[in-house]
Amino acid sequence: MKYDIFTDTEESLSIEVVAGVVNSSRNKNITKKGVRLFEENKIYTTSFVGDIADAELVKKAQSAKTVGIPYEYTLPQYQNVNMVDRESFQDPLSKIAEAIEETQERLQGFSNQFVFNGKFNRAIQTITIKNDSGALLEKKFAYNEWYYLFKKVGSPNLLDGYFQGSGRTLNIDDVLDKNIAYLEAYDNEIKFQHGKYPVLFINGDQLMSKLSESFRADKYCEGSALYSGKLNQQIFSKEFSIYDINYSPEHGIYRKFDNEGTVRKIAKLPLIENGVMKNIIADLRFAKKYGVEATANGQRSYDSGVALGFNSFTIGAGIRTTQEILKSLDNCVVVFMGDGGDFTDKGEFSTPLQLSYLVQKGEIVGRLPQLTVKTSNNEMFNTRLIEIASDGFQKDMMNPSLFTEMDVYVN
Amino acid sequence: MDIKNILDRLDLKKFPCHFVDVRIERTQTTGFSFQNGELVGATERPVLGAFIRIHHHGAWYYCSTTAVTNLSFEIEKLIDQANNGKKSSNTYDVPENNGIHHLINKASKAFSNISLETKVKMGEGYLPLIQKILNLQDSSVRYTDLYKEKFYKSSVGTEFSYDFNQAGFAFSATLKKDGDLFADSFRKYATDFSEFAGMEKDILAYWTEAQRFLGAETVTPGKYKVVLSPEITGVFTHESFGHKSEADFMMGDPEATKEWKLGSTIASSCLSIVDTGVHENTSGYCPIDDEGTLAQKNYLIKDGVLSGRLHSTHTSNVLEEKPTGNARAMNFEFEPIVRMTSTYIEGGKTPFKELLKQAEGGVYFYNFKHGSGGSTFTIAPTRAYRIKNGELAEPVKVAVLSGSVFETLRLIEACGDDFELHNSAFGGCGKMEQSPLPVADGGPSILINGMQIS
Repeated sequence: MKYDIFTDTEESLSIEVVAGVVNSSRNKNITKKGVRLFEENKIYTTSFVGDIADAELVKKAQSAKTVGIPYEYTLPQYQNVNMVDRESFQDPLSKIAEAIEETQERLQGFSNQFVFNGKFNRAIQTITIKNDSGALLEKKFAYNEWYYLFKKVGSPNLLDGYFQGSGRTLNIDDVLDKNIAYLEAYDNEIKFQHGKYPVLFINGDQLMSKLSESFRADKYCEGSALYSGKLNQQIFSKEFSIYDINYSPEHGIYRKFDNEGTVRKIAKLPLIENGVMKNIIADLRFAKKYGVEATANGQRSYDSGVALGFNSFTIGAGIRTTQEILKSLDNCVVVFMGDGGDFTDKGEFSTPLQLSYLVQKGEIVGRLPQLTVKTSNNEMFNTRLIEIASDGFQKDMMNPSLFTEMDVYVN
Repeated sequence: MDIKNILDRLDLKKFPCHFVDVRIERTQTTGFSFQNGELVGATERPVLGAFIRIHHHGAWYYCSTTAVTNLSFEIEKLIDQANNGKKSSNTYDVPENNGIHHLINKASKAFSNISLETKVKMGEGYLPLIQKILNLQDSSVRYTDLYKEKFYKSSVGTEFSYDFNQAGFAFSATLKKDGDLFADSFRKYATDFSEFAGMEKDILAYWTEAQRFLGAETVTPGKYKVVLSPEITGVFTHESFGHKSEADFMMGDPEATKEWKLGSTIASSCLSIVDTGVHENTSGYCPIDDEGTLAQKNYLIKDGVLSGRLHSTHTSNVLEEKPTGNARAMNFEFEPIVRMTSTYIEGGKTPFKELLKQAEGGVYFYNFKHGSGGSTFTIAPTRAYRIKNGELAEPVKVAVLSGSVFETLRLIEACGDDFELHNSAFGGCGKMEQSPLPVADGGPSILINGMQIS
């Protein structure tokens, strides 16, 4: 292969709502292109934002070669892959205007209590990677995302909470159904005692950040990850599994090929299965360097070098639904906003909770005061893991709900 | 391409709409990264694009485009969209004509003048240090720079251009000893490439001190007296109060303007907080914002009293205050929203040693990984030390330092005499979809009587 061309085109419409009224709309239609020249085991990259013919870009790249990135691995044999999700972009971009109307209608009853600001975005993204032999890897799909921030009238806070949704289709009703019940309980602030409680983060991505480092080939093989050397060992509860999933259209994940052109045959790569560490992820460079398998996790934008990343970092689902588990627990702290937390290098975790509620046997008791929770990687997914649900808190959430016990402090 | 000429030929007054403005940005970014001594990335990113705004029939209509020679067509399309869309009820008093300001003066030191090859060689020169750092388990050496020229014109006659030039270097590593890990990063900010020469001693000294953190104990959770370094004071100021001063959060909430009445005492009398874009050669430099409002020194708190807030023309319209030069967009793909520039606590008079004496039994925080704002702000520190006998003692580990904004503002007992403005070319401020935006923050070392460590 002499070169490949990465083209990323995004056409989008964003509509902004300020204090419950449409304030602005923004159109975007931008093409970004990057070419990689492969010469004498070096990669030279040149990019362009805007319309430019492929031949002209290649010519520009050939005249602009300065620094090449050395590579010793074998380039993948590009094969034609087509992931065009036609159904997803049948509706026009302006379809989001209906979602805004519906949201405003449902939230009208709260307009004396809360100020709502938000944004809806619908985008059609086309990404192609083609090489000089004519092979074409292509994906095209529409994707929607929206958020509404809410602030109690007179509150000195920037925001008091938010809800959001994303995915191939906009499931406004589900997001509002799940969140409005809690919004109704907002004014009922209850007293709380320090202690150990079951905790559910409705979006628990930050709980995974330290753990995820251990599955990167570079961190794992250099011995600088928390779980370096633990492959094929039982490190967590048997109920706990993690996968890297590369194809899930309903969640906007279309990654059967990565941005180096590597195609992965299995959509669901087990990283932890039943508590046993099973795999690590590697792009072509790390696969060659550390003698492991390339897992199609090479990610790059149109003009950047390749960086290792997850397609999605997804917890294996359990049996009971989120609501069934909530109904079975005497007490559960349900966290809607727990921003700013972090891990120490030892894997100890702490975060303040800006917005959380106490739920008893599935009933929302009230809003909790400002809390801080504390746990660790080893406890969270092992000795203090309570249960993993079969679904997420909202239907559009890819990760199922994870219930784990934490130390909870009143600030 | 002569961008000024493109704007000179564009007659914005002829368009049949309430208001229109155009911003064109020409940007050159370069960067490289070595991972464990191997070159894994080296890129140059030239970008030219425009952002157009019209206000018509009570709403804003925006478009971002790379077709900078065809702006009239794009403006007409937006006007059609406004004429055919639902009429909205937002009013917008057009801003004053702020005059013509052409301030491009950094071209001679622009990082875009230096070849990528020269930059990568500079990075290569520091790779031998990897062998000299004890207990090093993995490493990365990274560099990024940005040279941006911004051009603007509005239908009321305001015009400007200015340029922005910055670069950053980072030598990051993970140390490991007896199973204990410590990750950190040496960083250097510059507006002149020559400043990246001769950093060997500083880098080695930085990593020598880092060895002390291997095996450091974790602090028992609780409330402690703390001393924050100027770098942490900066992030505290930005996260705790800077974001709260952005007036867009008050939109649609008449009660908030009563709660946030200017003139109220909200902090210790030793505390004054400023935001201003006037400081050249900093990451918060913004002499004119993306709506054509000139930068000025805005006191947010003066001697403990709430004195101002940050505005765009839109928020200043609604709240009937003056615009402050804080309407900023991340790049040509986005609309300007209310953002900070350089935000800092003004320096005090207390020597650093005196701050430590007053914080006996507490913890000193030197640098951080990240911070976030909200009703409770948080800082995830990297290096922290116990304070014993009026001096810095052994290193300790802390996951998160947090506090309620308003409580903490009143708990600041003293401000040091060691003011520093902290700049960063890596990352920046994030707000909604626009991240990262270059900003600076800083202050002196400060003593706070009670923050939550967990």
